[in-house]
Order: sequence, then C-alpha cells, then structure tokens
Amino acid sequence: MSSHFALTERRRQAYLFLAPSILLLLLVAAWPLARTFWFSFTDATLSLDDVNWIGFENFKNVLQDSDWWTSVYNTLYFTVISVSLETVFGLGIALLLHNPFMGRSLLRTAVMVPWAIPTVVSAKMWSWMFHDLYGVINDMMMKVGIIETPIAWMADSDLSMLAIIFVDVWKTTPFMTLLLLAGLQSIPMQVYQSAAVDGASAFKTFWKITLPLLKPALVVAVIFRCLDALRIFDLVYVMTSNSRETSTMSVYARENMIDFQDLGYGSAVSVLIFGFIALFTVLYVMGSRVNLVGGSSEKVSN
Amino acid sequence: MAAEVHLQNVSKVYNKTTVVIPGIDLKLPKNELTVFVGPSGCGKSSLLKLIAGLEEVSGGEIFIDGKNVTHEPPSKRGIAMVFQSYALYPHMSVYENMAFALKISKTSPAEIDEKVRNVAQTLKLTKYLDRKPRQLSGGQRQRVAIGRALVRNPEVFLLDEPLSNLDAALRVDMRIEIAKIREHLNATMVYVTHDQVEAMTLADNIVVLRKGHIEQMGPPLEIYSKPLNKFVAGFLGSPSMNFIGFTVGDIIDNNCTLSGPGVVASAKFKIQPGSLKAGEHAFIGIRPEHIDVQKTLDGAELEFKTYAIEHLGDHSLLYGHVGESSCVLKVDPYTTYSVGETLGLKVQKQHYHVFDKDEKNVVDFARS
Amino acid sequence: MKKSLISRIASLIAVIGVSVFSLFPFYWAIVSSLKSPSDLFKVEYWPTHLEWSNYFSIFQEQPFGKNIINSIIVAGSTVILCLFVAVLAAYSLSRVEFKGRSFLLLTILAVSMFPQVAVLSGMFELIRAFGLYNHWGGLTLSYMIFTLPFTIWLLTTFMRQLPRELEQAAMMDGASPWIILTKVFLPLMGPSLVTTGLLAFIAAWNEFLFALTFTLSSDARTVPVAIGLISGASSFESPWGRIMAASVIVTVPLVILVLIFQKNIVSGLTAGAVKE
Repeated sequence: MSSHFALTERRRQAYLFLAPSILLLLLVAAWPLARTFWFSFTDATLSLDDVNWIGFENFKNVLQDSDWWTSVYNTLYFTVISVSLETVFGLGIALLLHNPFMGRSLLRTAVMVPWAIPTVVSAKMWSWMFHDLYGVINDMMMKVGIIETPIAWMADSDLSMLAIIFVDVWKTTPFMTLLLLAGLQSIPMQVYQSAAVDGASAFKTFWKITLPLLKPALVVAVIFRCLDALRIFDLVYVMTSNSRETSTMSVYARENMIDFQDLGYGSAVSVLIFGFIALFTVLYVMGSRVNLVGGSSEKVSN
Repeated sequence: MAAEVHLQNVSKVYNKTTVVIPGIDLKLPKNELTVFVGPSGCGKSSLLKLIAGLEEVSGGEIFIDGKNVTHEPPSKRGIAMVFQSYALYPHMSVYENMAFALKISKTSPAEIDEKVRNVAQTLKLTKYLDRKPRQLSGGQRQRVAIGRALVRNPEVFLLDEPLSNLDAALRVDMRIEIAKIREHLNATMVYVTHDQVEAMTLADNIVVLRKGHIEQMGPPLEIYSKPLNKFVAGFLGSPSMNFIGFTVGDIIDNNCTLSGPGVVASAKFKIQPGSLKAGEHAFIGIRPEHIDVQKTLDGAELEFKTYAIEHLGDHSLLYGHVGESSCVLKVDPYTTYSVGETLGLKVQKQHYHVFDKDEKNVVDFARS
Repeated sequence: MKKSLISRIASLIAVIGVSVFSLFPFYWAIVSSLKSPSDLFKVEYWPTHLEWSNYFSIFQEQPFGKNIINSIIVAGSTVILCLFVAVLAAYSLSRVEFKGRSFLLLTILAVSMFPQVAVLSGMFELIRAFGLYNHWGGLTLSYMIFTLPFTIWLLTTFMRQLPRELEQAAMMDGASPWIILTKVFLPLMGPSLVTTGLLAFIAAWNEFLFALTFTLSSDARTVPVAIGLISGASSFESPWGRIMAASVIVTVPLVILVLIFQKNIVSGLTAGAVKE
C-alpha cells in the first residue's frame, strides 16, 4: 500500500489549519499554567526578581491558613446554594416558556438582559439596591412591613453572602433557563400526548416523564454551572472586596498574588484551585457518564 | 473523449473491521453507460466514491484511460460527478455554479463564458443562468448539476442516484433527458441506482452487486433473460420472478422432472449436465408474465391457490401459493378471478430457469 | 397540554413577575442615575425631576470615554483574532478525519474549564515579557484562553451541519481546503459567524479579572474595571449616582444588541444541546 494518497494531502492541510489555534492555546493556556505550577514552588514576588525554589513550603502555609479554608467553605456554600436555586428557577421559567403564549418573546428578552451585562455592573446595581440607608430593597421591605429598621446587608458577612448569591441567581438563571428550555423542546410532543391519553395528571407527567427525559440536559447544565460557580470572582470582589469573611477561593488567590505581591503563595493557591476543579470535573463526568463531545451544550463564561 | 475505467482488485474497509468491498476486478467499457445496481449496503455507492477519488481504496489500483489514478485527487482523474442531492452551491448563481471548477483551474473568463453558455444551451438552462438554486425546480436543479459536470468535459461521468430525489412523473422525464445527454456525450458513464427500471432503461451494461461482490455483469436484456443466479434473477423485473420449490425427480438426457406439493403433472426442464441429482431440492424460476393461467387443472402443470388480487387497470396480479412457495401471476384485466380460487398453471417453455440449492442457475439456455 | 383558566392566569402572573424582577434593577439604575447627589438620599420610585449631571461628571472625573474605547478595541480585536483562528481549526475538526480528533476536541473543551486564577501568575509573567502590560494587546492575547475554546467548539458544531455532498462537489471541482472554506463554507455561515462573534464579544467586553490585573493606569482600563473602581471623595461613600450613570451607559448598547440578536444568542448558547 502506497503512503502518498491524495487524501493525505488533505490531512496535511488540516493540520496546517489547526496549527494557529493549537499554538495560541499552548501559549495562553498550557504555558501560563505550567508557569503557575512552577511559581507555586518558589518564593516569587510580583516584581519577579530573585526567584528561589522552596518546595512545598507555600502549600503547607496555604493549608494552614484559616482564611484559605474560609474561602473554600464560602465557595462551596455559594456553589451549592446558587446552583440549586438557579436550577429550580431555571426549570420553572423554562416550563413557562415552553408553551407559546402572548409576551413570550418579551419574557425571553427580559430574561437574557441580566446575562448579557458585565457582572461588575450587576454587582454595582445590586450593591446600590442593597445599600443599608438608601437602598431600595430595605425601603420596599420596610414598606411592606417585613422589617422595621433597615438591614445592613453589606456589613454583615452572612447577609452579604446571601446578597451575592441573590445577584448571581438573578444573573445566571437566564442561562439555565435557556439550556433547560432547549432540553424541554427536544422531548417529542407524542410523549406528552400519550401521557394525556393515559390520563396522567400534570404533576405526574412532569415527575415521571418530563424530568427523566430532561436528565441529560440537566446534568450538563448543572456541571457547567458548578464549574463556573467554583471559580467565582467578579461578583465577590466588587461587592465585598475587602471582606475576608466572604472571599472565595479565586478572590483569596488573587489577593495574595497581587495585593500582597506574594506570587509564589498565590500560585500555590491557584494550583490547589485548579486541582479542586479538575477533580470535580473528573468525578462528575465519571459519575454521570455524560457524552460531552457529541450532543452537549457549551457554556459562555461571563 | 471517453476513457476506459479499470479496477484491479479494489477493496474497501471501514474502521479496520467493516469490509464493504472485499476485492473487485472490473473493466468498464469506454463510451458506454454502466449501471451499478443492487440492494442497500451492496457497496455500489462506495464503489462510485472510490472511482471518484472521494474515498481512499484500502487495496488495489484504479486506472482511468490507462493512467493509474489510485492516488490522485478527484479533480485530477478526468471525472465529473452528479450527486444525489445535486449539491449545488446555494449562494452562487447557476452560471457561477457551472463556472466554479473552471475558475479554480484558472481558465480565462472568455473561455469559461463560452463553455458555460454552450452547456447551458444544450441543457436549456440559458434563461436561468442568473438564478440561484433555491429559485429553481427539482428538475432544473438536476440539469444544473449535470451541467456543472458537463462543463468540465470529463472522460468519465459519474452519477450517484441522480433521480431518487424526484417524484415519479419527473423521474420519467429526467430519465429520457439523461438518455438524450448520453447520445451527445462522448464519455464513459457510471450510474448508481437501486431502481431496476432505471437500470434496465438506461444501461448499456449492468453490474449487479451484492455485499461488495459482482454477481453478474452484462447488457440489460441478457441479465434479465439469462440471470446467473437466484439473486440476480429476483432483482430485476417487477413484479419479480417467482421461485417455486420442488424435489428433483428423474433426470433423463439432462431433462429433469419435478415433484412436490403443488405439482400436478410435471413438464420436463432442460438442465446443464450433471448439475442436479435426483431427490435434491431445487427451484423453478419463472416470471409472472411467462406463466399461462387456466381455470381448470386439466392439462395443467402446477396448482395455484389464490389469496389476494390486485387490479392495476391494464393487468391484474394474482397472489397465491404453489405448494409451499408463494407465487405471483400476471393476468389480463378482463377475466374474473376470486380469492380462494384454485387455478392451473403452465410454464412457458422458453422462459424458465432452474436454480440448484446453491442458488446457481443450472438451466440449459438452449432449451426448447 | 390542557390550559385551564387558572393555570393561564398563573402563568401570566409568573411571566410578569419574572420580567419585572429581571428588569427592575435597570429601571432603578436609570432612575438613580438621573438624580442629583442630594436626591439620592431619598428613595423615590418615580423621579420627580431629572438631572443629567451624573452623565457629564462620569466623563470628567475619569477617562470613561477612553475606557469605552479601550473596551471596544479589546473586544473587537478579540473577536477578529478569535474568529479567524477558530474558523480554520473548525474546518479541520469538523470535516477532516484524522487520528486523535475527538481527543483534541475534548482537550480544547477542557481548557475552557480552567479557572482563570490558575493561569494568572503565568499569564502575568508572559504579558510583561511581551511588553504588553497596561496595554490593550495584553488583554486581547490573554482573552484567547476563554474565547478560543468555545468559539472553536461552536464553529465546529455549525460547520458539521453543512452537507457532505457540498464539500464533495467542491473537491470534484478541484477546490483545495482553503478554497472550500472561503468560497463555499463561509458564505453559508453568516448567521453562525454572527452568533459566535457576538458571544465572543460579550464575553470579552464583560471580562473583569484579567482586565483588573493586567492594567494599571486608569486610562488603560476597560469599562468593567473602570466601573468597578469608581471611587468617591471619601473611602466610605461611593458616588452612586455616577456609578449608576456609567452602568446605564454600558448597559444600553448591550440591551440593544441582545434585542436585535436574540435568536442568534439563543441558538449559540444551546447549540448541540438539542439533538442534531
């Protein structure tokens, strides 16, 4: 068998076409990641002079820092609660949008706007709304009679975490909605029609038919949201930038790296975060055996 | 100018395990229209793609006009192809569709213009040259697809089920168009179809394929009247040939008699010497139109029990059994038949075939 | 599915509720931005008189105009670079068979799961080495890490949907992969390119972490960073009126984009989620 087929030429061109992307990704992803790993074993500072190897020293220090563990807890707390809420609300709105009705495009547009604006802007708008003295949230709650004196949302660490979760749910539910809506729309009508003929109630139909058929889309959506949530930075930084109690892992990493100029230490934190997320991904994918390459959705990080 | 296409031990394997074509030797005579016909999965489209160069051979060589093109890209083989879905470039006008290949080969605009307009005129597409494919009807798109191929003046012209996307009436018209083009064209044509009517009407040569093997190759009427095996016999002709099972009786002087359920009085069937042994199981093959039907069993050879009747206007079809074998009869539309009726059959003596247990046709074609 | 009157009313209420909930913050931001600093101290749901001073002071107190231009340059160049590179890669990944193709696709997908902090220090060093610190080029380059993967993935999905026979016809006509890509595929991919470009633009426009870390001076910043760092006279009181004005300025064009390209965005986000 000869080795100079005409179609090999095609393959050669294919590699050529791939080259720019691969090179770019190596440059901006593989290399910096490797460097971060390297830095984590050194005492590098932001000025990047006099870099010495110190082995696992950074890692030891990180694992002994209570602020680190606080940030881990915060991140997990944030992830679990916000993703759960977003999934439930997303599903609810998706069910609403599933059947055509008047005002459907209005709803869809309305729901996409929070997703499209910079997280920073959301953070600022809601920070203003949660303002203790002049915020509209306190005002409304007082008018309705839920509270008597204004709540200092941003001053209290528990409350500000709630506020952060609130904003994230507001901002990200649209994305979940769209994914789940697509999943709902791929369920053929006949399934529902035969359920109706069988006399199934709406609740039963939902529980026994819709939900199981939606499972693949749900699983994918939840994985991607969790991955995003574990990496959360923007919201937390902007809304509560100087609070230790609400910082998440990414905030903690950057703070050490840039604000405290301890590049080595911050890199060690980054490595831990990376490992965390990689582990999560592997476990989740293995556990749910989802086929990611064919027929799954992609997310847009924001 | 036409070219001869020669496949030498060509094989194709997918995914290292699925053997679609085990090894084919084929010589397609130049200037003739050869039809590859066969059931789904027989490898006819794969074979076409190998000739076209759209897929690599797993083994063997391909020669076009004496030149070894096994490793050449499609555009360098002197071939052009019409695809099943026409594959016209949707964003280009008819003119641009037809000019595309010429532009790539850097032909001068003047020459391109001349060639395109010539072909357009032959195919009566001149007034559609500025239209886009979506503004054309199915038949017109077909012609553009053909035109796109013609413009390249190919030595070999490949057509991949070109009529299967058209409705029945249009198919008949286009079949005639293709036959007409065939007249003008000085090229070797290879035509793939699963429709045996197209095969019979258009081909100079038919290649019947099954599971990557050539079952038989020859002119249509020869394949129709002299099938080499049961598969080929049953593939061409509609309604297809009847196969009636029987047990071989005495064989005297290469004439065998048959016995079994449904046999009333056996006629003699001339077979090739030594092909059958008494007591063996075999089949008579006889086309519906070659059976004489009578209302009584007197003088009949086979007994037929009707279970369904279809009236088609110019003839009727009777479905029933002879013994344990199902059988279809073609009768005139004016005689009345009824379901459950028993009829007597006589096999026309110039048209029967005898198939042995390996499905090979062992009839002596010099019968009667 | 039967729709009783009650369920329809409930749906309507839910729809209105959700819409209001989604859009109220913007309303409030607009209202707040049109109040004078003293008026901010009262909570008024409907403004009594409008004052535009915030919108002017935004541009005076900091180089907000320059920030907007920076964002446009960064997002625009990101989209251009990204689309160009991704279109080429998508062709190979969607139309040419080669060993390791699905593995490559998975790896590219995996890159999009990197936490941005994980590459922060390495990227910081890289950008400084290229002399791109505090320059928009540094951002365009670093943004590739999160725009390229999903852009490649999305364009590959879209390109896979183009008919095989179209490409085969072009091959028979003698077209090289470059010609097939540019003369046959791309003209048919208008909407896909718009969708992908739009999603990349929004992602780049909204990015915060890299923009915060890789720029220093206020006139090199992009809009999200500028808004994030708006500070007032004292360290405790933020100039909320100005912040809201800046937010509105940034939000309006994005809302318009979303309105116009709604369908594109939805199709892009859910590409592949529905069975092809």
